Amino acid sequence: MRGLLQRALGPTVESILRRFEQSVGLEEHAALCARIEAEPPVADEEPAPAGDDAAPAGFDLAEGWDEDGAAVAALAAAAARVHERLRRGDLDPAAGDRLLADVLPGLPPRLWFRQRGALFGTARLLRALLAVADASEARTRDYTRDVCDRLLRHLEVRRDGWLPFRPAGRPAGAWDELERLRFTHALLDACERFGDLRYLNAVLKANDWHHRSLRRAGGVDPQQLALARRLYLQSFRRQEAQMRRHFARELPGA
Amino acid sequence: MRERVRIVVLSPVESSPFSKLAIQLVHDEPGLEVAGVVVRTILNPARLRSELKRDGVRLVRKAWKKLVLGGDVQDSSRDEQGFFELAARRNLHGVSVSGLAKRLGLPVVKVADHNDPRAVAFVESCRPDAVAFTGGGILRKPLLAVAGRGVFNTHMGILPAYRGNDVVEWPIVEDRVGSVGLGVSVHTMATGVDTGPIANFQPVAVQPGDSMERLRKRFEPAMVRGLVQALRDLRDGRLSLTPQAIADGRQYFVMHPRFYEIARRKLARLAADQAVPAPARDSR
Repeated sequence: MRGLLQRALGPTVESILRRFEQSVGLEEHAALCARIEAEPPVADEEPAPAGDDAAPAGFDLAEGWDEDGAAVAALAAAAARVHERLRRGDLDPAAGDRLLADVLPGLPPRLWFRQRGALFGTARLLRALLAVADASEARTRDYTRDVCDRLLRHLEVRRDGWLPFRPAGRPAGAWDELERLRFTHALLDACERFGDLRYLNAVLKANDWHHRSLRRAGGVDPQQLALARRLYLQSFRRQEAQMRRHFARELPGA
Repeated sequence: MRERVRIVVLSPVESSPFSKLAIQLVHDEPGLEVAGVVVRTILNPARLRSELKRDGVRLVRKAWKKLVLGGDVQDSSRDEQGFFELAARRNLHGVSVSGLAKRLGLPVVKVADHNDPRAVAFVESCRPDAVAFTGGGILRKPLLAVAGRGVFNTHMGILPAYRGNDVVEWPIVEDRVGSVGLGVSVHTMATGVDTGPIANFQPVAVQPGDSMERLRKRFEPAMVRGLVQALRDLRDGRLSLTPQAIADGRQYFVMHPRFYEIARRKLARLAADQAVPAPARDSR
């Protein structure tokens, strides 16, 4: 009887279930990427907020941290400057570590991703921490790993409702998806840095959610949308490069 | 210790063959006694919502296979002795968990959630020496506190290395089957995910020609064996619980379908190359 049931209804049930799968097919990702590539180029990232590069202001703000993230905007700006300088190669990672390490006591890992939401602007702080991880002291490395694991847990538990942001420090009119995309890049950095495939697994899910989010992004500020699409394209390319690196023998066509 | 060791069995669903096997085997074991059974009701919106959120379509697929097809799925795993086959051999098909409890004269309570205060009060009233967990979500402190020596859980991965979800597949994807191995870890539950002290390991080896379904099915008798072994050890005063250090392992999460496919391909190669021996582990 059950064998009969399976033969009669199995294919129909299977096709219905496939339609509701949460994952997005590779072809759909590739199609969106092709469309983005055909768009006029935009800057890879927003320019870092203006400030004194030599002595990033924000880093004396450690005392100002609290549960509501009152000093988030200033810290995010400072982190962005450090990240930008590291990216341009005009800041030695060891010096970057010293700058970043100063701020850590004021922002315990548990404050990053709370039930009430995450701190907007901290993605670039995490990326800056990951960029100096090799040159950093043990306390920075431990801290960075702790924050990465918290981000992973947060994403896996909240799933496509991941990273709601607390109002404090959140710039007016900012599109949350942009900051989520920066966190996806942080997860890619973490996978490269630590060789931990759990992060790549999370990136695959995050990029599926980004794909859906970008397809229904009506009414979003065009400049932010263009930047988000560019960040998604880069994220998908980085994801696929890591997939090829880790699973060369298992990927179709290998 | 009392003359007979009193065990409460927690069941995730009325049709669970694992629960039925646990109840029957503990009942038949000299010196062990099923003091009560707690079974979750299937139609519980909060539970469905949280499990759908975690597992998505995989949950529906699992329900289709287990509840509608009764596990009698035409795939390469049919020659393995899983829960359904073991339950059938003991004539436990066609009876529900609470039906079996009634047949054996055991007190039973039905709840929406194992953490329901009614369930906690029931377990406490049974004065258990231990609780056998055969599935049914996360347990909270109040229930853990009334479980005697603890709630015994059978985890389908080697602890402490592999905590969390999809821990049959993750060691395969990470190429650690040879070093860490595959198998069931029986442990007592703590508030963290799979972080409680370990009672025993039941190794499971990859065999030539294995598919993921066949391999996973081979975990099922190991789960039954490990759970009963832990309860026998408790009865005999030989139970030794090895604490886990949090830093010794990682928590793993549900795999993206592409990772799952990679696990399948890696397993196919492992199974084609050779049978991977189970690592030498304490399997008391």
